[in-house]
Amino acid sequence: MNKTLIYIFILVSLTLAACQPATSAPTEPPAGGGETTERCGDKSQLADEIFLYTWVEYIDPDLKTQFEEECGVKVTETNYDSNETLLATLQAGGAEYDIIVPSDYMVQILIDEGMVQELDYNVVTNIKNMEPLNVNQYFDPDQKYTVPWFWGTSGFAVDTSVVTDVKPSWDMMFDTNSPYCGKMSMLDDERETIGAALMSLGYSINDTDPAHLEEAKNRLIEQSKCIKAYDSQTNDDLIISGETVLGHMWTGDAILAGSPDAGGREEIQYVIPQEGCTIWQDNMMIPTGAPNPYTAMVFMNYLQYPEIAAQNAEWVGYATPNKAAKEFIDPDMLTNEAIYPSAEVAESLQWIEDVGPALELYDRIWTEFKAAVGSQ
Amino acid sequence: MTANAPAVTRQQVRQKRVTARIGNWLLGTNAALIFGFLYLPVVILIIFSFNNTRSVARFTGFSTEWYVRLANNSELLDAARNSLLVGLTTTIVATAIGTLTALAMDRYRFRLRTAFDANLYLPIVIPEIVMGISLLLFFNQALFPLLQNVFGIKASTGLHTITISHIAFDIPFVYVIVRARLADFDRTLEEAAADLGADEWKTFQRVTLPLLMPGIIGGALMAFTLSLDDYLITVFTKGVREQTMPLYIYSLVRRGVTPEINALSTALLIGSIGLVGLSLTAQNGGVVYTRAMSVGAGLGLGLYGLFSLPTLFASFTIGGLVLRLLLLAAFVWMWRSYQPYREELNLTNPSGRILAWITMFVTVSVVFLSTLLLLG
Repeated sequence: MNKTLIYIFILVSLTLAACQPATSAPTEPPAGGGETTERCGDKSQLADEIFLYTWVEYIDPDLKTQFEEECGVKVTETNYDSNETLLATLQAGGAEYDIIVPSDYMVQILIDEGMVQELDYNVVTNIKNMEPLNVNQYFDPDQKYTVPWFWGTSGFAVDTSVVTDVKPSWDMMFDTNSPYCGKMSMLDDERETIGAALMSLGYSINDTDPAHLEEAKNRLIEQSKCIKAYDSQTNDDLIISGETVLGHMWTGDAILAGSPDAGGREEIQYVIPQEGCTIWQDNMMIPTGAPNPYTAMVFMNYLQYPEIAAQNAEWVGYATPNKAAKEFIDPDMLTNEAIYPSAEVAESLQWIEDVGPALELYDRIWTEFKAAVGSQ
Repeated sequence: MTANAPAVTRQQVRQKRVTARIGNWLLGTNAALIFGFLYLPVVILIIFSFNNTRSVARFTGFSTEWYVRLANNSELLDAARNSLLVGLTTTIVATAIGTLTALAMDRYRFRLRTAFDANLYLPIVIPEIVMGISLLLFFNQALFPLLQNVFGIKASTGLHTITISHIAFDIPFVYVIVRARLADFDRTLEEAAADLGADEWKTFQRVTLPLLMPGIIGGALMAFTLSLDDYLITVFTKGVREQTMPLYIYSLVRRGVTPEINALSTALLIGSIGLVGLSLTAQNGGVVYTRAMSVGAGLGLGLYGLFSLPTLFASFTIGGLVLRLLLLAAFVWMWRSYQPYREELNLTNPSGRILAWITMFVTVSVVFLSTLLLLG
């Protein structure tokens, strides 16, 4: 027993030693003998390895291998579960990532906190490939810090095997005389759920007028007798199993619920209401103090070449903001309006912005609403 | 009085019988409920690992596709490997330190002993998040600057910091369990050993350690489990290069948990049940099984060493060479345990012989596969 333990211990410590980062001092190799290619930039300035901190399954592993073979840079990826975890990790310091992928509102926080650095768009030239919808948005109005990565919306899913008269309107969810009363679910999310009520009343999702918010609250309370569940986690399972026929949902869940390959049913369709609908976007950024900013920008640029962006978008299943990539994307996916809404729908999309001091008002409305419908 | 006595007794007997029956029934129900509560979720988890769609809530058909995907998911396997590596190292170190501390606290009286004792319980009591943050501060503000300024070593967080943190919070758990075992330890047995001429080291080896073994093994298992599923402390002390299994699983929340996780859990479950089964057989069945396990472990390690030789020549490193030599040394170990194993085998009855061979083969495969996962 003792001997075995000693053997295992020696083995383990050796492997641990072998796993230690060997390279720590010179991150950027010295210049000289520079070979510049279009996709890899100035090869003499590239580091051997960059560190990506991102959402899980957000990049096709084949593309990482391809980048390593083509440009000689290894991409090491670790994952986080929420924007807040990302923020906490960065604030704690010590962890030196080259690329992070925060969502819209977190971009604004990171810029305000001075935790990210400006990009050099002479390196990230492929920013020109982006749709106008996805650049110069409120969180980065002058497009100085971000490269858009993926985006989506949150409308509602409909089981068309039961619901025949589908209208792209919030009225479907808020009609208390609807025959589907009692078979609906709403997201359990302060901004999303209040936002849906505000948009159904024709207000902005970022409305801070107390009277409008009061109206939204009453609308939600009135609606609550038709709502089976306020749920953000298993709402896709509810609609697949037929317990609900209408469900307020994030795109990702709705697309999965509608694809038979993923255990969903084809009859489940995703609808973007014309009154307005939330849009979100994840963006690549470089934190302040990143060890290899140049290599990071080369990689960000590399990923936005049309064929590469298309390949990644197909693997991930979300919408790419890259306009040039669309001709390489599977037409079936491109015509799916749940993923790529039409131009006129895209115009009605609204960003969830920081409402500043009005957040307290939102909190109060949300608490009052929760109290009124019981703690669901 | 005497005339009534038999009647009373009969009534009492009947009453007792009824009470006993109700008692039995209650106990039985209780046991069934407890086992159901503990094991039904595990059974459901295993069933859903064979689902043919990505749902973990509705079973749609049988398939083994998730096991195939698991075998190809290098991110998840890397995370699982890191978790095992950290878990094993942590268990060995924390068990050794915890046991020795418990012995010292039990046997010696010194100043501030009570204060020291109370301090040892602190990591059990304080919230994990506080522990995580304080460890991070310790690394970033104290240890790393010290290493940098005094020794000129540039250190950063990684698997090694995760391991150190896990050891730190695991020691008290081992300590508490071993201390409880020591509380009813019969010191006269040690005195008897000394009377019979054993020196202190021999007494420890042959009397104290075997008697403490159940406590030590219990502590070690506790330490391993705690390390394997720790999230909070790990998230603060992790580096940019590696992540552990819980971190990966949490990050799946965004894209939805798939049966791949169930498949991995099932594999881990079967592995740990196998290990527990082996150690129980060894404890109850006599020395022949211990020897069979020793031969099996040697053979498994040696075989892996042999198979991994070609990779050594592909990319030669000194560490790799030492590791391969150590692995191959396991053949010698196997060879030396084989002779006593055969002698023991001759003294065993036929069914025991078969069981011993089975034990050996199970050990070979478990050791081979876990080495493959750890080093491959």
